[in-house]
Amino acid sequence: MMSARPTLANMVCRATLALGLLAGSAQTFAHGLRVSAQAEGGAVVGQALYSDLSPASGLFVDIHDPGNDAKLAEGTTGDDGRFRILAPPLAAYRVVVEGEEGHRAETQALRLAAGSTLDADTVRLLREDIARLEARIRLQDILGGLGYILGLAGLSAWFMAKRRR
Amino acid sequence: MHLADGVLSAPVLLVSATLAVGGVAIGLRRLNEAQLPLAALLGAVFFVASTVHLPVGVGSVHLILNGLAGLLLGWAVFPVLCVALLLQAALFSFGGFAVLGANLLIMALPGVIAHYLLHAQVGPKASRRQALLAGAGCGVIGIGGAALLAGGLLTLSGGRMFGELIVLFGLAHLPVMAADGAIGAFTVATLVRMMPQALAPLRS
Repeated sequence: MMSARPTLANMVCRATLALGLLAGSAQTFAHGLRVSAQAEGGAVVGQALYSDLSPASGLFVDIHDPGNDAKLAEGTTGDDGRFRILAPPLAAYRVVVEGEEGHRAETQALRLAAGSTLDADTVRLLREDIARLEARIRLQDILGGLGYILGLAGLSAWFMAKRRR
Repeated sequence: MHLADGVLSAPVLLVSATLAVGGVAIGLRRLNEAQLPLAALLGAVFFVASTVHLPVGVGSVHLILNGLAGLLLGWAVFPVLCVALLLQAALFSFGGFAVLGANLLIMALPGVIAHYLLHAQVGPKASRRQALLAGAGCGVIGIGGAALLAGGLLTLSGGRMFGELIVLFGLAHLPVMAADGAIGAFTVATLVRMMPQALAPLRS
């Protein structure tokens, strides 16, 4: 039994490493998904990101008419999470990104006003920056959540103590 | 493994929400005063763990630890993970509010199963080997069960093949399962050796 100790711990460590390296290339999916998009010319252009800021590649993108919800076009995201999908010209689109493993996110894709002095590429970069900020998990949110858990535990302890008396 | 809003069909959402409410009710009744600090601690660990991404190879691994929480808490894992999932949905947009019941069922039910299968292994006379295996089993049952349940719910909602989904979920969560198993084995073995009284409520 004594000799089995280090071997087993060793085996656990090795198995962990091997499995981790083996499947490290597979995307881990347990995150939130965010998407940003805008209409440019005859296409809808955008990017999908997971909440750890890794690009969401290979997801299905559906372009809907926001008026009657009809599906206008569909496509997939590339390796960098970006997509460019041709769609009939409309003022705005509803973009739904869906993965097979239960991820789904949607956003509104608007068109820059005609004659606007803004450059479409610049606006897209700004939108992607904003989406990245939105997707990022902030420390104050984590600390706030821990505060709620602590408060709830305190509340339950107080109720239990009252009930005991 | 948080399913997003709008992915599951209404009947599946309703049934899983009902089952999850049942689980929370049982858990609240079973949760006793001695268990409360551990419950809060494990809830906080579950809440934070999914935000910490450790890079392994070219991907990233993070912990879920629903199996370990289940082993140590039993049915009380339902209310604990309910609070943690609610906070994750509110603060990080993981999952969603309509799908909370389904996500709770996916995470907490394997935990309860891990409790019933493994709690006999971590008694006062448990060997180090037993404790390590029980802890590693938490990772396998917790993550494997969650993947099976998530695949099952998605299949019931229609359109997708269960087999494909399981392969997809399984591959994606192998690193998570390995990380959960390793942390579980380490935690349970340490508790058995250094703080066996912490596991006393398990045996009552």
